[in-house]
Amino acid sequence: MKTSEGFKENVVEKKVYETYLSIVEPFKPIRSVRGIVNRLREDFKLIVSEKLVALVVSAFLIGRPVLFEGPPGTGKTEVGYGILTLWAGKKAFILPCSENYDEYRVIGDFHPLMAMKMGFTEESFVPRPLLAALVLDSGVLVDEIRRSSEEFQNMLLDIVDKRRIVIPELKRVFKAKGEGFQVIFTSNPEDIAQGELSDAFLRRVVRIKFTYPPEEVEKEIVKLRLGEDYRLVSEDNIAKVLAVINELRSKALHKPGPADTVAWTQMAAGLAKLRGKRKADIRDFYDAAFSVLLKRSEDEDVVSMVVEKYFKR
Amino acid sequence: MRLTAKNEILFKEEELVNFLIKLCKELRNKGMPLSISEVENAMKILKTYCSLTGYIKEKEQYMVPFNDFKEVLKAVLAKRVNYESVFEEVLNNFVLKKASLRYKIVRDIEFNLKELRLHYGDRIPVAKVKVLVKNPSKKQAFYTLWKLGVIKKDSRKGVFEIARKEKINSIVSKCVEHNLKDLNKAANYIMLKNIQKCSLRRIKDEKDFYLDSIEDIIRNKLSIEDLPNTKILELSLYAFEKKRRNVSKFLAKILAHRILKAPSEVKTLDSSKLIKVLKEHDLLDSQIIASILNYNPKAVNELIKDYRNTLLETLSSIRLESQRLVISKLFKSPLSKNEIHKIISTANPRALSSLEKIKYNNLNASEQILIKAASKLAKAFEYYRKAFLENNKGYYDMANSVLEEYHNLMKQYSSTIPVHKMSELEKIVTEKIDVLNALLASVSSGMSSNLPYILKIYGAGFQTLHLLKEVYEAAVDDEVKKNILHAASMVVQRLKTKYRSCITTAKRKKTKRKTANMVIRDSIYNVLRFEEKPIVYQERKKEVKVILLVDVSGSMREFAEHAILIASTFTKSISDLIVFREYVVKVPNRILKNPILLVEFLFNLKFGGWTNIALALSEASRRKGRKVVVMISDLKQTVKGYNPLDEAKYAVKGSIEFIVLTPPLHDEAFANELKTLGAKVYAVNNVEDFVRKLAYIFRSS
Repeated sequence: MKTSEGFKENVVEKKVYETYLSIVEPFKPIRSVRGIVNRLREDFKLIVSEKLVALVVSAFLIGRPVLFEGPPGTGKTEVGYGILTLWAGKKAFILPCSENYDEYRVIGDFHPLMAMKMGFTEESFVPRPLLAALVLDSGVLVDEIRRSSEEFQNMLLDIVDKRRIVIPELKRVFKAKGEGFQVIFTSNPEDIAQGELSDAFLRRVVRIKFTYPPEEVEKEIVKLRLGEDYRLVSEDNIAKVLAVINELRSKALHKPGPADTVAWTQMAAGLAKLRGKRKADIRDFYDAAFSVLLKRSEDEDVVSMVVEKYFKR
Repeated sequence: MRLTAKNEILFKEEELVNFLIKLCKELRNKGMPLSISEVENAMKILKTYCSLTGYIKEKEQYMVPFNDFKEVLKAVLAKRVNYESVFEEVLNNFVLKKASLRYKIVRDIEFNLKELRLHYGDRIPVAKVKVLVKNPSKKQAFYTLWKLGVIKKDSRKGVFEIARKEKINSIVSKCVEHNLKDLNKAANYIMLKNIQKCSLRRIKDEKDFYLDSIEDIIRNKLSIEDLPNTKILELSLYAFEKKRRNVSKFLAKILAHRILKAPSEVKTLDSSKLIKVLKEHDLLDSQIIASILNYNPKAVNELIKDYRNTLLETLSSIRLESQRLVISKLFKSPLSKNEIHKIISTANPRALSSLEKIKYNNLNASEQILIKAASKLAKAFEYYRKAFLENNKGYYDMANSVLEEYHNLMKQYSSTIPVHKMSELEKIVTEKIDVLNALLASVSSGMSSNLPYILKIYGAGFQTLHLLKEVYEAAVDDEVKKNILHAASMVVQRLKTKYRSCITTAKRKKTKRKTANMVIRDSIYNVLRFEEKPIVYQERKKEVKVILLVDVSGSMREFAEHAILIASTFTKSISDLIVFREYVVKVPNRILKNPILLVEFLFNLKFGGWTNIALALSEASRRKGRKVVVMISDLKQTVKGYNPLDEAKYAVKGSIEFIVLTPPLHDEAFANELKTLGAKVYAVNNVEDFVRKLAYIFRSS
């Protein structure tokens, strides 16, 4: 692994290594499908199918970015982050998009005072995550891409397509050196106040749809995430939790995802611990339910009705 | 590419490409915007996915579970939520329905085998089959399997062989590929393809089977467009011999239709068989006879007996060589004076060479001498021409001796017959002799003194132009050719004047004179800038270009020549003149503007061949700017593999006006479709009507 010492003349690369190398924490990359699936389960506590990982890896191999689309709480960001991290052997960068996100925030900017003093030089340049990812050969997770502007999407596509970043002020072109620089976008098409993705954007990406997992997988996720605390919840209550979640997915405005299921169960187990119980009972689940499941005031009646149906005290 | 019983897709790389192209075409039809790069990505990612997951079999075959296959393709092709259902529906249609169709066809084949109590790989003697097919339902089952190719006849061993189970996969694939759901229909379709490929001898050996098959094909309304003429003729003849008149007539009609469209097809056919079939079904009209004689002059022997009157009518429209043969055959049988009159007046002067030895009781001595003299002159011309073209002294000597005979005969004629007593026939023959003299002069250098005479006889019309073309083709000397072109250009100039005068007789719409719109911004700016006299800017009317598409296939000759001359008369209104047949040629403007070049172009233009309207329309659509497209055609697309309607849609969309002028005989269905697209289609009654209409279009544009 190179260090900042290796870049005596390339100031930008030196800055990148100084600033970001400690964040990415390099390790040996994993490039096999089964290896990635196993490590996702062990290190990231994620249950991901081999099919999905194979599809993402295939997209990486043919040089296409991936778009994860699906409802909130289905693990898009976590899975994306996990795969990118394992593939590159470095922790991935996450770019949480917003409307005013632009190239200066992701590629780099010039420090105003230094630029006035020295002009647009490498010394006055401040590298940002996307450029850092390209230089460090690390993955980038662009979260909630629909929230960004179309110009920003197009700029990203150009970089991903050609695997290079041009900074005209510095008269420099930064090229990706390895296969580690990959991009995954996440998006939730049902979320409100978001733009549409253009046909040009969609044409270039491989789109993978995320859905709510089947009950047995969701139970497995809960078990994996709770770890030792899983002994605090009974099978019966887990089944009830999953029933509530499933019903709310069809009735409530805010549809709980597997993340909510995990959070609810974790909270119930935590409450049981605080209350000095050996197992979480109906009361613990009932008390924890509203803080996790009730995200919108319009859902108040529905949530209380469904929760009371299964966890009536 | 197929779905296995374990719901796995089995495919090779090249099959995957075809599959993806077809799938994407279908998805695009359903409104999904898919580019070629996505097809490429889909292929790449599927192959990589199979490699990563180990779904690769031997011999470069991939075998992937259908669900995986679907998910991978969906990731690349269905990018929006609302496209997912469309994608699934189309993919299921493509794969699952095909699999069920495959299963159905195999089941039907096995059902038929069961009915015949046969098994895969069996062999049965021909004699046994003869007994078997006496039962109608078994005959049906047997013939269906035979047509499909499940049963094959081995004539040497005298047995029928039933294919082994592994072998029927390719047969079933063919049926699935063409979405043939019904086994009988599939059998007919495959049989049709077999007839196209098999030899005539095979058809001859199995007449009954092939006749049954073709009858079924016709009954099921399958298109036999691709069946070669030779096979249609043979089958029609066999059907007639076997007293299956309906089949025979149907096939004969197709032949007649094809001959009309492409007369050169006659060359490939046995004329005696062709005439026999067409004659039996009363399909021999003057046009077909002309086509047959043009390409097979010897066919006159079979026609002379029953079709003498038709031959007389068609004489002017057949080629010179055929004319000679027809005339000599006609003169061998007794002819009335009127008939002789008609033959000589309609025949090409050069064809008179075949009248050398005629002796007729109903002609007087002077008429006989004159006709003989004309034939000698025609012969002398041919010898001279050959002598010049081949530089052969022998021909030259022969020409001189024949010419001497001509002079002797003419001396004899002028000494015996006073000029004022000339009969009508003699007048016609004299005119022909004048033309022949002109032709003769054209092959010897430094002539053309007779050209003004020809112009005087025929006037400034197309007849003169055609005659001059003949002289031009006969001439070998460049100087003579130049003189002929000059004379023809004079005729063209006169024809152009006629076209212009034609406009004055055509009704013209009275339109209000429109004032141009004032360009306010520029005018105000001008007022502010120059305080004195302001200039008011007005919008300039944009020029509208007329693109003229002229069909120069054989049937359109008469109209096409006029159209080209009219286009040259109104060169200011026309942007492009495009002539088309199976290919497309843009006539350069300098040719239209220069009468001599125009005449040369007309003389060298070959009418005939196939018609490709689609190509012409696509050429017109490619031209940019505001345009009016005028097409002159009979709307009969004879070149296969093109869709003129699709091109017409573009042409109508891209032009401000799309006008079609058609002769009385045209493809009405296509004309109606053009009308519904918004084109103006005018069917003209005759050439005069056509000239007036076209000239009016140019003038008004």
